[in-house]
Amino acid sequence: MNERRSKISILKDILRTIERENGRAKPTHILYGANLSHDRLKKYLDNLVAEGFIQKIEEKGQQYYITTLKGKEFFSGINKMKKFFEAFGVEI
Amino acid sequence: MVFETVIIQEGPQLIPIWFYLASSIAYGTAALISYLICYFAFRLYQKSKSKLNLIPLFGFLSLAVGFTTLLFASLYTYNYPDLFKPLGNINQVNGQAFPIYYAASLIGYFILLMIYLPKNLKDKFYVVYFPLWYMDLFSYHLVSLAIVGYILLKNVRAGKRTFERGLVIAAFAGIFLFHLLQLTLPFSPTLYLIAHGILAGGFLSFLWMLIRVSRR
Repeated sequence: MNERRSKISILKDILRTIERENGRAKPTHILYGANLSHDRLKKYLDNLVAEGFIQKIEEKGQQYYITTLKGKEFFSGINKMKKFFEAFGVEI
Repeated sequence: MVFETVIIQEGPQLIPIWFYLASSIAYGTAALISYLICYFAFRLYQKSKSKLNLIPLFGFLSLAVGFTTLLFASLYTYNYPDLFKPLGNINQVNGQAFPIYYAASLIGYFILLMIYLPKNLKDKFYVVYFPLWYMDLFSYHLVSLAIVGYILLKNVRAGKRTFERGLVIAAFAGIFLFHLLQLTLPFSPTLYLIAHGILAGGFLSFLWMLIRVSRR
């Protein structure tokens, strides 16, 4: 299948990648995990930071993104929403 | 309307007064579970900010309003049966409640239909609301059967096969049968009574799905 992912699905993939990396991931890991181009990833990460779902931190010259509490709630909400709509036969 | 004509001719024999208590339970179950789905969709909207959640929110809210109206009308008739005997159980409360229910439930079904319609049709669809606002019982059930039948078909054919989806299919199948059996009122009051049991069963299936989804 070659269907375009929805925005909500992309955000879920980004947050899932960060969660898989124990809540702290490098931009390159997110890029591969969410399967996005550099430009699109930057746009989505900026969006998530602006919404307060993730935070950008720097450690030893390396950039990381961490999930905030609000982001964890958002991630859980999206997962439940996915299950809910799947029950109605709709992929989001 | 077909419904009123039949009841006025046959009187309380057609629909016994105890049925109003049974139907109240069915309507109450349907209304309560609809409100719960509504609340769940609202919580999802709050958490995810996705407007997609507004479809089940308003769809089930509309259904809940319709069933709540019938619940109160049914309970009222059950509590004051003597007032309406000369008219064969038909009363002003029922007379007001049914058109509200028709309109609310049709709007609810139309909103839920939005989930399954192709994108290019969604924007134009509001036009059909208006001719359906005032309908008789027979047309109402036929339109409901067509919409719920389409939703049921789309549900059976689309998406991943999960237990929760099976529960939603069972729920829509229950609603479909409810409308189908309601059409048998002039021929078989028993099937009419069974239809309300099936309605409650369908909504309990929605509740089961909701519990499973919210626990994950």
